[in-house]
Order: sequence, then C-alpha cells, then structure tokens
Amino acid sequence: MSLPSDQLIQIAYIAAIALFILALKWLSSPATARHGVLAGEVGAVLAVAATLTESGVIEYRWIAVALAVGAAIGVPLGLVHMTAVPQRTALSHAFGALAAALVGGAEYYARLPHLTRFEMGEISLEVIIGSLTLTGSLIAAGKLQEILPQRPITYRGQNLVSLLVLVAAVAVAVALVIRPEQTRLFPVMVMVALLFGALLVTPIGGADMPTVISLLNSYTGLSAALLGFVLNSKVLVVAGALDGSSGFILSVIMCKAMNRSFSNVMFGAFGQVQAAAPGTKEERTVRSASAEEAAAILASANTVIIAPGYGMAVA
Amino acid sequence: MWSPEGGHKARSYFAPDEPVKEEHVPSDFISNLYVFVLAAFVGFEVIRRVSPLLHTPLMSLTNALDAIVVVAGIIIAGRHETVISTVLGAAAVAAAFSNMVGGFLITDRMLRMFKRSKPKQR
Amino acid sequence: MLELYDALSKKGVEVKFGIHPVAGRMPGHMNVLLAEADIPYDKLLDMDAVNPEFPQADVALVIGANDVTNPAARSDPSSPIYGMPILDVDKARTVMVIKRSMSPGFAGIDNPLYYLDRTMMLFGDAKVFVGDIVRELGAGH
Repeated sequence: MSLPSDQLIQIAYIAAIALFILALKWLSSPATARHGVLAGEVGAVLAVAATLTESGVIEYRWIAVALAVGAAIGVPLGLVHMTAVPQRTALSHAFGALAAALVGGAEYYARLPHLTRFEMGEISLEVIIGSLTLTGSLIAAGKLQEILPQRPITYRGQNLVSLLVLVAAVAVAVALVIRPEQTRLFPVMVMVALLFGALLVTPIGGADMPTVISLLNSYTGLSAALLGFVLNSKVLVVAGALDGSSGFILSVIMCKAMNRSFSNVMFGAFGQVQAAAPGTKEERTVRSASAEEAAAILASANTVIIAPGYGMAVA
Repeated sequence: MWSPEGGHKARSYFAPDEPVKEEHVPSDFISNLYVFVLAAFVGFEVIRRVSPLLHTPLMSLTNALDAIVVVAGIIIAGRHETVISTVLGAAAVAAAFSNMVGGFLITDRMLRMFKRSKPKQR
Repeated sequence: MLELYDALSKKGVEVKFGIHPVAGRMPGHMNVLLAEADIPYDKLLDMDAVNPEFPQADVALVIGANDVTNPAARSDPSSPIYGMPILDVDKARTVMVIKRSMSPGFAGIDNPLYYLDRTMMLFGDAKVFVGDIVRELGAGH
C-alpha cells in the first residue's frame, strides 16, 4: 500500500517543521550550533523539494528563473563582512516581508471572485504587516549602512501623523473586507501601509537599532504566520511563529538592557530626552595615562575584564 | 500544499468554482490557530535557551527558516493561473530564496568563527 | 584585539570579555565580532555572568564603550539612563578607559566613571592604543 503523493508532501512538511525546531534547539550552545544550521538546511530543502512535486505546480520556468535570481542576490548577501551583518539582517527582514506581502497580493487577485470576508480580513492584515515591515526594514538598513542619517529625524506632531496613516490603512482594509471586489482599494492599502512603515522607523535613532531590528524580525515572522493562515499552510504558520517569537524575545531583552519600554522606543525618539540633561558641568579632574603605564599595570594583573563597545569593533 | 489538509472543499485551490461565501469563522482558522499558539510556545521555550553569545546567528537563522515562504511563492507561480499572480509569486520566490540562501550561508560563516580556547593552562 | 588577548594570556593574565546585550548594532553582534577576531567564545561573558566578577578583577579595560559602563545608571535617579542595567566596571580595582576624547557618547550623557580616582583615561584611537600596549607588553620584561 502506498501513500498518495499529497500525503507524502505533508509528511515532508512535518519533517521540515521538526528539523526547524531542532535547528533552534541546537543553537543553544556554540558546540552544537552548526548542526542546527545543517538541520535547518535539510528541512528547507525537504520542504522546497516537496513543494516542487505538488500536483498543482505545472509551470516551472518562472520558478527556475526566480530561484536563480534569489540565489544571485542571496549569495553576496551571505558573504558580507561581519560589521555589516546588522544591515544585511535588516535587508533580509525586508525581503522576507516583501515575499509575504507579494504572496498575499497574489492570493487576493487569484481568489478574488470567491473571496469570503473572513479571508479578505486575513489577507488585508497580512499584507499590511508585510508592507510596513518592508519599508521599515529598508529604512533601518539605510540607517545602519549610514546612507540615511543615524540621528533621529523628528518633527512636531509626528506621532499623530503616523497614527493617522495607520488609521487610514486600517480604514481601507475595513472597506476591502466589506467589499472585496473593490480592486482599486487594494493597491491603496498597500501604499498606505508602506508609508506607515517608513514613518514608523524614520524617527528612531541609531542607538535603538538593536531593538528595532528585533521588532522588525518579529513582524516578519508574524506576516509569514498570517500568510500561513491565509493559505492554510501549517508549515508557514510554524516557521512564522518561531521567527515571530524569536524576534519578540530579542526585542524584550534589548528593551530591558536599555531600561526602556516598547512604546518608548517606538514613539519617543531617543536623543530628545537627554537634551535637558547637561546642567551641572563642574570641572573634575581626570587621570590620564600612557600606553606604557597601562601595559605595566595590565602585565602585573591577575584578571582583566575587557568591556568592548562598537568603537572597538570598527578598529 | 493546502488543499490536501483536511480536504476542506471550500478552501480548495483545485476546485475554485465550488466555494460558497461563508461568513462564520472557518474551522481551518481554528486549527491553524492551535498550531500557531503551540508553535509560539515551543519557539519561546527553545529560543529562551539560546545563549546570548549566539543572538546574531539566531536572528539570521530564523530569517532563513522564515524564508520557507518560498514554498507559497512556488505554488502560486507554479499554478500559473493569471499573469499577475504568476509574476507576484515568482517575485516572492526570488525574495524569499535570497533569504534562504543568504541566511544559511552567513549563519554558518558566523558559527564557524566561534572557537573554544585551546586546551592549555588552567 | 587578539594580539592584546594573546600578549596578556602569555603573561599568565586571565582575560575575559564582558559583553553588554546592546553592545554592537544588533543583538549579539559584539560576540560575532570578537569571535571573528579569534577570541575563544568561552571567554565571552554576558552581562549577568560577568558583573559578579568585576570586584575580583584587577583591571577593567573599557574600549569604545560608554553609556553601558556609566555608574550613573545605578546611582543617579536624575540621569536619563537611570535604571539601565550596566557593566559594573567601576567595581574593579583599576579601571582603564580607552577613548578618543572626553566628549560624551552617542546619548550625550556625562559619565562619572571617568572621574573616579582609580580610573585611568587612555586618550587616543582605540586601535592605535591597543597596538601600543601590545608593543609595550612585548618589549618590557
């Protein structure tokens, strides 16, 4: 007795999910971490191979071209210098969100005449989160690459403007849920969400980038999970949930490390707060020393703890 | 990939003419929600144990795993239904696959650099 | 960096690294950079692990870090960073800070650490200064 191929594909997906979870588990120690990468790779290959045998897939040329293009972009991005890893990560959040938003859009157009309101709601939410993560991540990458100014860019009433843009995006989404056949509204919703993503990250300063990257990580995961809901695909739901919770945990750690709350990072641009700080500027004495003296003390020490900052990393 | 699951005709891709407008919450949604909540908890517990040493590789690895969105793009582009869905699907495949390739590559490069100190004094 | 680590280790000095969670530009970035510099990962300690060790340390060497070592975060409720967890470098017997100048860091906050009696300020470019120290360590003794 043999299984129908559809069920084999499902089994491949389940194996992929198990491998993904193992991959993350092995990442708990540097000694086993590389097995984790291997497990992830095997899982991904398994899932992609299974999908290619899916009976609904009849046209391979586009897929082949797209895979080649993806590899051509991905390989150089995988070989960047280690100091550029944050930019690369932000960029890959952008790609992940882009992919999720594109699939959401394709689903909308493909299913259009038969779309239920519930499905429309799922798609709208997914596309909004994907779109705002896309532009938000691009801005973050620009700031990290120092194409855009690192300093927070702020203006009066910006939180109000951002909020209004978000409300507008939600309003368009609600209109679409009521009347899914209003195809003209769909691009409008995407544009407004893109705008919101840009507005959200532009005011955030360079010092808060670790938090922002983590948060965008979490959004990327969320958009993938929502896509899983839209497509009724458990493998996407699980991968998205894993990515989302990872991003969420990291954001919480980063916020704690800076003693700030989410809302503080998102809505109170750093840099402004301290403007009032100077005040007491008394002259105090500072002891300075030469390399020679420093070397002598270091040489006679038993234990030395080095506290490095980004300034050292560039050196 | 989605149609075989549970065989919900209303959501089946390959019988797109059948579905009727259903206004109640579909049962697929509930089962997906189960999966989501359980996966989020598993993810939370597993990832909490990841050493802070490896938070950067963690992020690049989850990025690569998240690139599994590529399978959705493959199905949509591969079904070749309308021009627009094929183009959007193919673009999604390219974007997601770049993450998959790049993410695994850089994660492995980073992890290769983490070395234990040579067994010596102490 | 590795040269400093090697030069000190050769002299029997135990060298560890204390890594603040937000050091670098994304979570865990500093660890990757140090691993790239061939520092063994068992010498990289996160903040919770390293803080109890500062009181026993002879020297805390701060390189290119500022706000995350600022004791005002512990003691001064009026400081904008009050309450932020920091590396307790000020509890070490001697503190050395390599820094380009006295100018405040990114967040523009004055750091009382620099005025402590047991703090030595080492002004200069981090890379050059570390190079100088390594040369001195190699030359002397």
